[in-house]
Amino acid sequence: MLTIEITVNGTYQQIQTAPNRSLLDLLRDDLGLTGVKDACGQEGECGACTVLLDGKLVNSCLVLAAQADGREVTTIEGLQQLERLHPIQQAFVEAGAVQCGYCTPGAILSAYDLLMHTPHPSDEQIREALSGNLCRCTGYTKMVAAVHHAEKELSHAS
Amino acid sequence: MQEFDFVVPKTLAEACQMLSDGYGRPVAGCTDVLPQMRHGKLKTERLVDLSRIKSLAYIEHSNGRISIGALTTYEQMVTDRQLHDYAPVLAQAAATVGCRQTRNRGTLGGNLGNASPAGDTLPPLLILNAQVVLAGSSGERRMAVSDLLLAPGKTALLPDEIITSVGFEALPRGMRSLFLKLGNRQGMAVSVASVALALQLDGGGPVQDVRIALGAVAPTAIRCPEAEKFLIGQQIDPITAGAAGRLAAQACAPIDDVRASAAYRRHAIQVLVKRGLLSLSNDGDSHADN
Repeated sequence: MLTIEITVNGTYQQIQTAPNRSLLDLLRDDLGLTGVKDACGQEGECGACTVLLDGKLVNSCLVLAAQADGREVTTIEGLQQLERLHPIQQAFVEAGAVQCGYCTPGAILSAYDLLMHTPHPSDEQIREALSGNLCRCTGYTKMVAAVHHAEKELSHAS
Repeated sequence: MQEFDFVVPKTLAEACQMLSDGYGRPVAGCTDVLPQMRHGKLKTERLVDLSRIKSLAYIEHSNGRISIGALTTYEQMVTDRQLHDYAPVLAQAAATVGCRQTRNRGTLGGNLGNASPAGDTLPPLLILNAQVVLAGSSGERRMAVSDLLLAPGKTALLPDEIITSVGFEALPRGMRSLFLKLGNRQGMAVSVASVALALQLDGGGPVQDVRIALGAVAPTAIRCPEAEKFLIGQQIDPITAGAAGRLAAQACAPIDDVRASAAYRRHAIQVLVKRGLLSLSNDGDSHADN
């Protein structure tokens, strides 16, 4: 077993983990952060396990837990501000961009990453940014609308 | 997933030491290695995580020569302005890899070390005549990327050697380059066939220099000397570009697999080479879309 130091959603922790566990295993199974989902069997295909690692968007199934030693992780649970949904989460709710919900946390984190780098994205940029998050329900149209909605909310807020 | 030891060298020398018994596998972004291990296609007793050797993540330009550290991610290549100026074909190829999540993790060294026939940076590196720098217990050596890539998943690396950087001359002024990739969809696609092209015309007329490399249609990425030789001195038009496409299709040795048939790949190469040559000769936009 290895001992790693990791800051998850602002909370520093020391955790024991086996070398062959992924960051997804650690977050979901050990820390109970079930917003981090596994939809493709940890193959890096679906993006449902997307998190921010030191502020960079990654698939947590393709990161070994041990590789997160000394780093900061933000999951969908960390995007929410106390009891209030983040404006991007709220926009997904209002646009009806959520159906089964399995891809939603990952898609919202990808949208967050996009809007941090590109405050006013085109439809094409949004589709590119969501291309690593497979959704079998929405057809993406409402997700694109949700990101535009969030874009307006965030530019008002700033 | 199988069990293995996980070790984290802080320096290159330490990393070579940890690999010296032949039982280790160097990793960085893990975007290829972890799925392969989960499928049982790759077995190893020890993963040697190079990702903490920060000195290996850089893109440098001096005197017309570009050097890229092996730990440079695809995303770093996509966003590097120098690379867009001096070797746009490589930045373009990096942008087609996976999605942002994978581009933030996957590295240039990993793409080379994996030696997948479909590795998207490999055709661009071939037309850039790139060399890799390898570090091992017995010192440093250099070799051409074309000599490094031996077969699917096989490289000329010795067990204790690590790819530390890749270097090449910037494309000459006036030489336009282009990467075209055919996947089964736009996003998150592994190449079914890909083409890297660089073209220099003599005063807008006949071809002065041309470089063509193909991906995903042979055991490794390959250059196409027959098509290149044929084009020298020719005007690029639909007939000559089509003929070059046919020569490229003859040069490749594709296979049938889950993504496409050999016949489809061969046809795709012919179309991509022709399309790319026409696109490069028609306008100054080296980022032309396919």
